[in-house]
Formats: sequence, structure tokens, C-alpha cells
Amino acid sequence: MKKKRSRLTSAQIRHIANLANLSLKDEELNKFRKQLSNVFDFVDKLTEVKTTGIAETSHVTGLINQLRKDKAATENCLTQKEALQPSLKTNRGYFRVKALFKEQ
Amino acid sequence: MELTQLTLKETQEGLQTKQFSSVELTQALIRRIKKHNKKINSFITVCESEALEQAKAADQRMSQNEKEPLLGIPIGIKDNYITKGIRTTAASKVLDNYIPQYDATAVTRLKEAGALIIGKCNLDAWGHGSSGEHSAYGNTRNPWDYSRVPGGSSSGSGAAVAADFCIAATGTDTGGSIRQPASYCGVVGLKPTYGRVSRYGIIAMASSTDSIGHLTKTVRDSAAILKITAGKDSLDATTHDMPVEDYEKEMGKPIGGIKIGIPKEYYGEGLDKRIGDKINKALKLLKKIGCKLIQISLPHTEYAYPTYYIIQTAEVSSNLARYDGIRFGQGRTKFGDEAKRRIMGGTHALSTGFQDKYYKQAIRARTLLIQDFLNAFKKVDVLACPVFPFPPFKFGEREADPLQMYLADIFTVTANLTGHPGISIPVGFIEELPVGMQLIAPHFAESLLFKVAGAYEEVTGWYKVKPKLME
Repeated sequence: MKKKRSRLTSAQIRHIANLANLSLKDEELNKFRKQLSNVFDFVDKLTEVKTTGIAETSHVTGLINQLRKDKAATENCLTQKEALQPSLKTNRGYFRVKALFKEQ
Repeated sequence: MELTQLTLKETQEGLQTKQFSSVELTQALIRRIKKHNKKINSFITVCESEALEQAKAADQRMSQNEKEPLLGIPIGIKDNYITKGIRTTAASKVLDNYIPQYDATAVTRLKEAGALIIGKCNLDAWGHGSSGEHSAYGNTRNPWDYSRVPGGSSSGSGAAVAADFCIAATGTDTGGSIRQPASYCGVVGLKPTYGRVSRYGIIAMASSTDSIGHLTKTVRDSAAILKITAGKDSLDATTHDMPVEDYEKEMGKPIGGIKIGIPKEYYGEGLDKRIGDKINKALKLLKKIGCKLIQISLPHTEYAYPTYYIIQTAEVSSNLARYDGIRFGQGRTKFGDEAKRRIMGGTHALSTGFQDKYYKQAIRARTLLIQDFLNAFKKVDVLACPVFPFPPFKFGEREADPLQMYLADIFTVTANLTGHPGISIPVGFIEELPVGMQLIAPHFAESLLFKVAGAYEEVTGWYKVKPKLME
């Protein structure tokens, strides 16, 4: 039986690009659609593995609940000036971001 | 012997016995970089004046009998380690103008040990690659053959050490990115246990597999550097409090009785026969000096790459979300194609309707891969595997189809998923191109890796063969 191919549609790619906050041109969307479809075709092999009852792994060396004292780690803080220094979008000591609300 | 050809241990001795100064050494390396780096492109940033200044200061401190282990020794730093005041780009245009305000912990520890930074090494942007063809600052070339790839993503680090541009270089290994350039450049590449070395200040790729290591000329050099970078860091909650051993201590001791596991799934059809032959020869030699070779099986091997692809790209999509051009960097339109592909792959694997099929399945399959390794380590002490399925390839040969490039990682990714330490060591040449073999050990058993790899290196001395750099 021929394996069902993992074709991603243009709509799916647009949706993924949107979720990923990437603005892509049409040629890019088409190119990535083909390439990602190809990769996921191969990756679909993973669905063969029986994993019922198998625990999920999120950490490999067994550490649990690494805590520290709840006090400000001032020795490891940047000053306001240092924090702003690499940004190209500052305004009087603040980072400038896109407006979330429109003016009425 | 040129100063630039010295190993780390030879350099330490030479500096301490005042055969030469740090300034002389640094000047010699800079001259060599100026002569050959244009063609090889190991560095995105060369820190000539800073390095010479630090070398002067190091000489001053040596004259006052200060004896830090790396005092006055020039190291290359992979450009995904942030370095205070030194431009750090991750080889991407997104961070073209980024000058960090603090050092990565690994950098702090190397500096406290007296090392000086000679430059920031080129890489596949964000660590996304195994060839060295994905940098926004040009390809790095393999010093053994400029028409071929050096391996990646720590491409600049591997090439710089092989070309004697620095005494050692740091790297990161998320799916093979230290072991692969080590193999293709004929140097030693160590991927420590996950959590052995702090990831604080390392530009994150896949947070559950990123391993912070280094590339060196010899195995002993590798052990010397791990002593300095390893250890718990309060700034990285995933670092372990396992004590940091004297990693050189076991080296030189007899290796009789050590059991080397040979996983049959790694030596099948997909492996270039010539590489298989070189590794067999190396294993025969290890048997001759006392090791036992034991055939084993890692039954879930064929699922390792798909598992890795899903987990890695999922974590990449999350880690690269912070590059929004607000607090630092240029914004997301500057991402290269490979970064965009991986972000999108991961986003898809995590999205509603696909998360169960891909991500949840992958993190359970990961448990099965870990069990394979734990079962193997009940029978053997270390595993011996190839690094790449084929010898160093020419630029562009695997570029056209991303999947072909990804499949170059099949032998290296499992140790990242399981967290085990691995070391790639040179085992000879195929048509004058280096071949590496990797040894993998249980968690935190790096001493064992150095012991076995060191014994092999002592008998063979491959590190003495150097590339003849083209004029």
C-alpha cells in the first residue's frame, strides 16, 4: 500500500507562518510548503512507534525542582542603560513596541 | 615546530617555563590568521588588539608567578556564546549589530582561568546546520580541502583548531555540532553530558539538548578545558551538581577490560564502506591494547532522527520567538531560510491538531531511545559509532534538498536526545580527508571517554598530521 504523503496545503503554511510571526512572500510560502512537506513525509515514520504507556521525557538527567532563595539577584541584573543599549527602538528610557490598541 | 602548532598542554608548559611569551604566541597566531583566514573564513570577528592587550597583561601576571591553567592562551569562541563588549551574531543578520552586555558563564570561567579570546568563530546560523554552509557571513572552508565543507554547526571552531589559528575553540552540540566539524576537520570534539556545562549566555537552540563543549587538538587538551568549564551554575537550573573531576587523572592508565559496544544499526547500508573500514581498524587497535569489543543493538535507532527533528524544531521555534527586534537585533525578516524552515517545522509540530501526532509522540519516543542506551550501558562501558555517514562533501552537494542535509545527522542526534557525553576523535584519512569516530559514555562519565580516546590517540598520533594550507 502506498504511504499517504504528508502534503501541507498553502492555507496550512500561511497559518504556520502567522503563528510563527514570520511574514513571508508568496514564493517563499510555496518553497517552504514543498520543502516542509518533504521533511514531514519522512518524519511521519515516527507514527509507527508504539508509545502507549510510555512516559514523556522533558529532562534527561533527573533533576527535579531546582530552586533558589526568593530574593532579587542584584549581582546579576543589568542597569536600565545596559538593558536598553542593544535596542534600535527606544524612547526616553523605554523600549518602543507596536501599539496594541488603536486610537478611536 | 611553529608556536602555532603547539597543543594546549605544550603551550601551558612553554609559557610556564618561559620558552616564549603570550604576546609572541598571540602575534604568531594573528599573523597566521591574517595570512590564511580570508580563504578559510573561520572567524566572524577577530579580536586582534584586545587579544594582544590581554596577552601583555597575561605575561605581566606570569612574571608575578600567577599560574591560572589557561593563562595567556588564545582561544576561539563560537559566535553563539555571548561575550561582553564583543559583537555576537550567531552568524545571522538578525544579530548583526548586537554587542552583549554580559558574558556567558563558560566565557567567564575560561577568562577566570586566564584564557584570552582571539576571535568569534563562524558557525551555521543559530546552530542550524551540519556543514558550515548556512552562515550569513560566508561559508567556512575545510582546511584540508577548500572545496569541501568543514562540518557544522561549529564550523569555524573546527576549522580554526585544524588550521592552527587558535589553541582551542569552544562549540555547542545540539544534534552533533561539535562532533561533526571535529570529524571533518581532523580534531577532537567533546560533547559533554547535558547539564555538565552551563548554557547561561549561550544563544539557545534546543534547550533540552544543547550541550556546551569544545574542539581541541588532542584528547588531553579536551580534558583540561572541561575541568574549567564544567560545574554547577546557579544561573542555569539545568546544570547538575555532580562534582567536577580531575578529568586528566584516568588518562594514561591501562584500558584493559573496558567493554566497547558496537551498535549494529549504525554500521548498515547507509554508512560509506570506507568509513566503516577506518572505524573497524581503530576498534581492532583498541582491542589490541586491551578493550573487549561487544556487538549490541539499539533497536529504536531508525526513529532517532524523526524524534530529534520534532523536538529540536519545536524548541527552536520557541527559543527564536524572542528575536522580535525590540530589545536587541534587527527583526524577523532578517532570518535566513534555514532558520525560517526550522521555526515553521517546530511551530507545525506544536500546533493544534498536530501536537499529539508529532510533539507528544516524539517526547515519548525519546524515552524509548534513552532506554535503548541505558540497556546498552548495562552490557558495555562505552559505545563506538561513526560520526558522519560519508566523508567531507563538496559545497552545494547536499544543499538543494534540506532533508538530505538533515540525514547527515543520523549518527549524532541520539546522544543529544539521551543527554549522554560523546567525543569525536580522528581515526585516519580517506583520500586525504579526515575521518572521525565517536565514543559515547554514560552520563557524567567523561573521564572514561578521555581514558579510552586518549589511549587510542597515544598509540596513533593522528593529531600530528596537519593540513597544508593553500596559499
